[in-house]
Amino acid sequence: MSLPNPSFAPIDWERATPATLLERIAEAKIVGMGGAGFPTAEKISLTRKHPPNIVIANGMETDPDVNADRVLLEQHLNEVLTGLRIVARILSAVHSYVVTSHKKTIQVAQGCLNDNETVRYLKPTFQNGAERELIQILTGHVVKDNRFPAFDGYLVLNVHTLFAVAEAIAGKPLTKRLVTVHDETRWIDIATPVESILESSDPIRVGCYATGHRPRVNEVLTATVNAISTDKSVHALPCIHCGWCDEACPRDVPVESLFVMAEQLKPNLDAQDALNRCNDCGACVVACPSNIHLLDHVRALRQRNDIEWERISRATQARLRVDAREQRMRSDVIRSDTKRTERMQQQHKWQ
Amino acid sequence: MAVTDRPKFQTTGIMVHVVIALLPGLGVGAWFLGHKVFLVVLVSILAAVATEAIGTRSVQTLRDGTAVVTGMLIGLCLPPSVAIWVPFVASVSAIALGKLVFGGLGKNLFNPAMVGYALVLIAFPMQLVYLDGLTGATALDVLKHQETESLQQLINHPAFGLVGAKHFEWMNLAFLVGGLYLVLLRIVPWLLPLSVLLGIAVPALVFLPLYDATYSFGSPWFHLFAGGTMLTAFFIATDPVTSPSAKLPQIIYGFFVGSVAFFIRCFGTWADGFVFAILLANAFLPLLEPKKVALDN
Ligand code: SF4
Ligand code: SF4
Repeated sequence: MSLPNPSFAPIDWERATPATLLERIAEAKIVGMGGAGFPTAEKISLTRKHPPNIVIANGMETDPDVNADRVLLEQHLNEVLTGLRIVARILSAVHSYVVTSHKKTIQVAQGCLNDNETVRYLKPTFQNGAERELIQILTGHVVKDNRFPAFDGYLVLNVHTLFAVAEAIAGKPLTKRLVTVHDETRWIDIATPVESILESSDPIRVGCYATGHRPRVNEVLTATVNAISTDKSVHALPCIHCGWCDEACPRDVPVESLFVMAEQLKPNLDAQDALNRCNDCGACVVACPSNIHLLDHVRALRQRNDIEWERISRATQARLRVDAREQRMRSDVIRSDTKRTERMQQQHKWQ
Repeated sequence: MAVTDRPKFQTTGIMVHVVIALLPGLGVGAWFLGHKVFLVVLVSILAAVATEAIGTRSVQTLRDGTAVVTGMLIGLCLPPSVAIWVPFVASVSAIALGKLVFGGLGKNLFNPAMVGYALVLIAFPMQLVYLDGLTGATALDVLKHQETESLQQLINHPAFGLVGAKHFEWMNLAFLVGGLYLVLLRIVPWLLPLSVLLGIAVPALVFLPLYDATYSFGSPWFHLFAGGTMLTAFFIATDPVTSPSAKLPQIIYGFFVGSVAFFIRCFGTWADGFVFAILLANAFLPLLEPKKVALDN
């Protein structure tokens, strides 16, 4: 993430054209702050081409022990709503939703909504936090697997992203974000080294303890990170086969089996379907009574599978190349044979 | 903040709750059978914990608390009249042969407590006979060795209580209460104990009309509240490591355990058949739920 351009001029978004607004969002290099990190301007313009154009502000906090969304909605609900309206204006959206699991926000928000805006409370289950599931719950529309929701005309943006949009339009670059550090949520400058944020003797995770990753060398805080946590999985106990991880998974992934496969440190292509279904929500990690970081294992297996697929496709391509060459050579031989015969026949004629 | 449908538990916490849930049964047992019950349970626990610590050469593995539960279950299965080295032998072999040889917690095929109990049951059968101060035999022995009793006479036999076996019905009730506590906390899946109980009650119901003037198999209520029914259904059959976690396998597993126990009670050599029913069901587990076997290819 490069540093934002500090020389933004404020834009009057109610008068500006959608193109100007979109350009500013692209210029400010805003990315999805819910964790995915997808460029927001791109996501908006993709959605724009596909009606019905519905925007959803996602304030569902499903990461365990994280409060960044709640604190943001408490402190800056107006900015988030402005961001939502800006995006709705770019899309000429027919309807926008704010969905959150914080009842207090609902009461405050209800007072300042327009006609085509709805605020909804949902229970903060892992199921309710994911993009596709949210769209289905709010609008009844089912986004098919393997299809990007933008292509159906639905846009889900994290509340932090909307906040950043509002700030960028107002001419303020994004220099810090709310991060939950060990039960306490505070504004931290982007690009602060993560190791300096949480001093602890235990290893830390960038993100919540369930979905976060171990810090990389010299890793700095990016706009997509909502928490810095201590890593509970270092005290993991053996798996007791209780099956709670499988039960907790909102996507019916056989997590325990994936864990057994991952422990063999080998790729397992039969598991690919299950690996694709997993959306890294972390519910399995929260459920495990032995503190096993199942998501780490799932990710490791996924990585090994990717390498294996790559190898297979290379091998297949090489095979195809070799086959084609043999074919070519064979036909060359035939061709030269026929040519020689023709030549000899002609010579024969001359004699 | 995410909410999940199940309260957050740690493996150690689960074991603490299991121990708490076993306490009423332990108390009632001590009330009826004498306070030597405490001694037997204590020796079993200490032997199990010591074996685990020595076997793994570390105290780290004790953190999960499973050794305590294994020891406690063994102690509760044994009659208080045993010689004090019997619980010791049972616990040591439970941990060493039932758990450590397989590679420790989570890798064992058989329920460790049942391995230890079966070993002493086969090796020292005379030690394991319940000697009730009043009758000299428990209701299950009477059931097996009855000669001329009809159901009515059986019920009037001094070894029988209100619905089940004398004294044991109260212990069963206490284990039922403790078990329901675990079910409410969702530590134990409700389907497993229910299937075990149905597995023993349904055959008893089917066989009920078959009694004649000379023989009876006992009523479903009797079987539910005699011997180790509730202890097995809620605490032993539900060991997560050696029981299935999917619904259909749970039903099959539970029903299998219950009905095998019923047939051993009625036709087998041993007074109570749960221990062999569990070990047999454990052996079939890989068929029921293939993923529980460590894949090694
Ligand atoms: S396997 Fe994936 S989708 Fe399922 S609970 Fe775990 S992280 Fe979530
Ligand atoms: S929740 Fe943890 S202990 Fe239970 S089966 Fe899954 S990995 Fe094993």
